[in-house]
Amino acid sequence: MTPRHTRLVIMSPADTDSLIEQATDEVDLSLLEWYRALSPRERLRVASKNAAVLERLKRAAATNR
Amino acid sequence: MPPPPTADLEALIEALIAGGVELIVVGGAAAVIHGAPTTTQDLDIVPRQHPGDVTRLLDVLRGLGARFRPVRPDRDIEPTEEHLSGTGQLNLITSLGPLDILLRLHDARGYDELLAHSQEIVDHSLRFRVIDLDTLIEIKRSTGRAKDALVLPLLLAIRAKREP
Repeated sequence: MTPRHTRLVIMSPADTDSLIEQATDEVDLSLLEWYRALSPRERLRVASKNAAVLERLKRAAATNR
Repeated sequence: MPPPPTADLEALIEALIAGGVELIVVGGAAAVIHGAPTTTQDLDIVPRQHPGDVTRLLDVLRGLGARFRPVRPDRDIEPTEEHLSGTGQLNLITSLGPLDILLRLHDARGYDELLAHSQEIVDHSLRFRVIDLDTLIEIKRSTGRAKDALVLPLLLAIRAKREP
């Protein structure tokens, strides 16, 4: 059996901030534009539906493992 | 029928508002409302705890069959007025999915402290308060949790886009 290892990476707040700033620059703004065109109700519906789909996929993957 | 494992965010907010509950939406649902294309499994709210508020919240929770999660045969606990009058964080499951009631945030701020840092959302018949974007970013930065850090780039990009 292959041993499983967990690697603990400790990052300073400065490292984390730097990564977050970098990721912010890489956000696809067209996706944000599409989402912001939705009303608050529509955003809540989309988020709920996507969460339900992801949960079903997660459970299916766990069952088939 | 078992409760859904993920929240129907819109229906949960509607049920709480219809029951006269004064609340501020925080957490992942607040990020969604501000325009972050992300998902969340539960609705996080900070409710007001003025006289009468706890009774109204408890009535709504009873209507939704709320229990502390996880529910097990040996652990099937309904929230009580005492729970809702405290300062803790109640992780519940309802007929509309998971609902986290944060009587205080991790930094000890409750509804009264957050009210000035919230904004009203009006969408047709739905009217409720959500934590404002700057405060949401501040909270997500301060928790130190990986799942909060993940949504920060989206929130920062949304804020940058709003600024002239």
